[in-house]
Amino acid sequence: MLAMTALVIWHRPTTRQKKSLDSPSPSPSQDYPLVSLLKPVKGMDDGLEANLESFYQLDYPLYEVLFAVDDWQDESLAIIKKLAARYPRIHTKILATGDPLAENPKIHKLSWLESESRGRLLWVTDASVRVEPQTLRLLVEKYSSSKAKLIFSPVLGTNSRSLASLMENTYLNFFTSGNIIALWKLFRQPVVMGKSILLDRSALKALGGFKYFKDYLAEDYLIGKSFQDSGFKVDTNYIWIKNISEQASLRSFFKRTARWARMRSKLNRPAYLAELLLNPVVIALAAMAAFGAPFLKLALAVAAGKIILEYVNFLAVNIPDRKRLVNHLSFPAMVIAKDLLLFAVYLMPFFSNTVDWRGHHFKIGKNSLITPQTDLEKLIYEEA
Amino acid sequence: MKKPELAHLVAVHMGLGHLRAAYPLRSISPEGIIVWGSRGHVSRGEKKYWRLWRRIYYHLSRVGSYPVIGKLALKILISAERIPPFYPQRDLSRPTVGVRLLKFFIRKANLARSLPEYLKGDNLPVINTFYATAIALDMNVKGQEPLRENYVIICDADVNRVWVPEKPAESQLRYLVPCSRAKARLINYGVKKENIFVTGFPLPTENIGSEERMEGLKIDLMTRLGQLDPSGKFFAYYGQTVHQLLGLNRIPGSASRPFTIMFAIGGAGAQVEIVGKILKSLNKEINSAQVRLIFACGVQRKVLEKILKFINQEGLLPQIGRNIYLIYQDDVFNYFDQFNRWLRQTDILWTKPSELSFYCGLGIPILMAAPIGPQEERNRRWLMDIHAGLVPPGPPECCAEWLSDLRKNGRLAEAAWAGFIKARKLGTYKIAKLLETGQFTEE
Repeated sequence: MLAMTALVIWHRPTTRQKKSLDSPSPSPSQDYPLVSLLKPVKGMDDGLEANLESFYQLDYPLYEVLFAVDDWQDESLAIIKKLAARYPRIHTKILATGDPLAENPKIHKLSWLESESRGRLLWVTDASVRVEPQTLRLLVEKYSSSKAKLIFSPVLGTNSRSLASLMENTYLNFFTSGNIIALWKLFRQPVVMGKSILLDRSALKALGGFKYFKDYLAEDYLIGKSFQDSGFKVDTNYIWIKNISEQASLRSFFKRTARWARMRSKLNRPAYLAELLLNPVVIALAAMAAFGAPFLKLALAVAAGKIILEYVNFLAVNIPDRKRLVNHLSFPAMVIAKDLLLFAVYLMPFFSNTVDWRGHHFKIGKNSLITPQTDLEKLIYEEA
Repeated sequence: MKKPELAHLVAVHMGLGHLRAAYPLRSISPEGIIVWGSRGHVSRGEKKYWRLWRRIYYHLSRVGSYPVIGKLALKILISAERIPPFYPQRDLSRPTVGVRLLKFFIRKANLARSLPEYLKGDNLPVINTFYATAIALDMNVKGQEPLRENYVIICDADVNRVWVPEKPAESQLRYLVPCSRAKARLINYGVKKENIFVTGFPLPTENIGSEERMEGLKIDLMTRLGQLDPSGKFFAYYGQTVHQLLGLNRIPGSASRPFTIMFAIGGAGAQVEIVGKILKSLNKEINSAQVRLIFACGVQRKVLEKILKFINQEGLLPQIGRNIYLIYQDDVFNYFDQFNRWLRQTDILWTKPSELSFYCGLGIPILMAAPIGPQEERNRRWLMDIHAGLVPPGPPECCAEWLSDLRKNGRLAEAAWAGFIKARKLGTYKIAKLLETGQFTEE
C-alpha cells in the first residue's frame, strides 16, 4: 500500500501533467490523425454539460464527436444538441441505439458508434469524464511515440459535494488509480478503465471490433487484456482523466463498488481474495474483536496509518477537492466509514453473481461473462 | 416453405467435431440442433457432469504440450482411447471398461437420462452425433412401444468400442458411418449389419450444390485444381478425366485470388503453436499477395488472440483483411457458417486429421498436422489410403519451400482429385433420404 501511494504521488497530476499541458499547440505540419470521440450516454450525470463541453474545446486539429443514447427520449439529448449547435465546426453525430437485453449495453452502443465513425483512432470516454484541452493531443502523442495500440489513463475522481462523493472520489484516486498505476509500473499489467481509452481502429478491427466484448461486463479490463494478449502494445502516459462525482449517494456508491467487486472476483479470484489486505482497518478491527484489548492500540495505529496514507493521496491528487475545508474535516471519519462499507462490498461476490447496472440485471460468470437467462442454444466456451 | 421435420438432432459440445457433424443436418430437425449438456436442456446436476467431461476433454486434447507430465499423460490418454488393430479380424463385442463406465454413468449418475423425457411428445427419429446420448437413448427405448428410431453419426474413420452398447446384438441403435472401414469395425464390435448405413460424413450442402449435379462443388474444384497445378503436370495426366467427370470443358485459368491455405485450429486450441512458424515462412509470399492464409480459429478467444500475437510478431497486421483472414465467432454455428463459406475459396486445408478429414470429399487436399488420439491416427491412415491427405514433407518453418514443391509437382492437385473421387460426398442428402423414405442404397 505504501508503494502504491508512493507511485501515485510520483505520477500525480500536478507534475508531469502540468508540464505536458503547458506544451505548445500542435502545428499543422505534425501528423495528427483524425480521432473519433465515442461517447455512450445514458441520462444525466453530475456536471454533464460541462463534462461534454470540455470535449468540444480540445486543442486538437481534427476530430469528431459521436454520441449514443438508448432512445430519443433520453434526458441528456437536450444538452448534447445544444452543444452541437454551439460548436458547429466540430462534426457531431447522435445515434439512438436501443437497449439490448442480453449483452453489454455500453459495448452495444460502442459498436454502433464504431460503425459510424471515421477516425483512425477511437477515443472512448464516459459521460462523467471532463478533460483538459490538451488531453487528446497528449494521448495521441503518446500513441505515436510509443507505437502502442491502446493508451489508458488513471482516473481522478473529483468535485465532491457530498460525503458519498468524497468517498467515491477517494476510492477512485486511492484504490482504483493506485492499482492502475502500481500494476502497470511494477508488473506491466494494464488495468484499463473505461473512463478513457484511446484505441487504434485497425487493431480493434483485427479482434472483430467492439462486438468482440459484447458478452462481457468488464469490457474495459478485457479490452486491455485482449490487446496485450494479441501482441498489441498497450501503454499509458499517466495523464489523469477527471471523473466528476458531485452528488453521489451512499446507495449509488455501494451499488457501483459492489458491481465492480463482483466483476473483479470473476476476473481473477486469487487477486480478489488478496484485496482484503488493502483494507487493513477491517483486519485490525477483526483482530481486536477476536483477541480483545491488546489489539486496540494496533487497531488504532492501523486506522491512523490508513487515514494518513489516504490523506496524503488526497492532498497530492485531488487538487480541486482539497480547496474545500469540509472535505478536510470529514476526511478521517470518511475513510473509516468507507473502509467498513467496502468490507461489506467485498463480501458481496461470495453471496451473489447478479449485477444491477442502469436497469439491467445480469448474472455474470467467468471473466464477467454475461449469462442470459433464456438462451437455449448458445454455448459458453469460457467453461472449457 | 415449411421445413421437413424428419428427426431430432442431438449433439454435444465436446470439441467442434460432434457439432460440425450435426450442422449440415440442422434443417431436418424441428428445433434445430439440441446441444445436450448446455443450459436450458439439462438439470443443474447433469450440466456439471457435462462441464467436467468437457474440461477433461479440452485438457486431454492439449495434454501433449504440457511440460514434464505431457508425454506420460499422452500415453495414458492413448491407451484409454485405444482402438484395437483391425487385423486379424475377430469378435470384439465383449464390452470394455469404457463401455461399463459409460453404462454406470448413465444408470447411476443420470448422464443424459433426461433426454427421452425432453424428446417426449412425438415419435420422430433421433440423430445423435455423440455416443453417450445415443447409448442413453438406446438403454431407454428398449421394451418401449412404439420404438423411436435412434441413430448415431460416426465422426471418425474408426472408433473405440465405447461407441457401441454393452450388448450390441440387443441394441436398436443405428449407425450412420463415413466409410467402409468404420462399418467393418462396427461389425467386429457386434453391431448387426442391417443397423449400419455407410452414408458418408454429412458435409455442408452449401459447398456441394444439388445432390444430382453437385454444381457448386464441381466449379470450386475446377478452380482449385487450376490453383494447385500451376505447372500443368496434373492436367497432363488427368485433364481428360477431370473434364469428363466434372462436365466442365474449360481448363481453369488463373483464379482471381491468391493461392489460399486454410489452417484450422482444433476446437481445443491444439496446433496453435505452429502458426508462428507458418507465418514466418510465408511472410514474403503473404506480403506479395502470392499466398492467402485463412486461420480458422474456432470459438475460443485465447486462440484468436494468440494468432493475432503471432501476426503482430511477424509485422503482418496490415495484411489482415487482405491476405490474412481470421475466422472467429463466439457462436459455434455462426462459425461453421463462416468456415464453410471460406472453404469454397480454399485450396488446401491444413488441419489435424479430425472429422475435417472427410472434407476431402469436397475436393480439398488435406495437409495433416499431428494427430491427437487413436481415432485421428486412423483418420490419417484413411486419408493416406485414399491419397487425399498429405503429411507435410518438411517442418512448418520451411512450409513456403515445400508447399511450392508440392504445387509444382502436382501432388496437391492429385490429392484434391483423389478426395473428390474416393470419399463420399453426399452424406447429408443420404441421411435425409434414409429418414424420409426409410430406404438406403449403399455406394
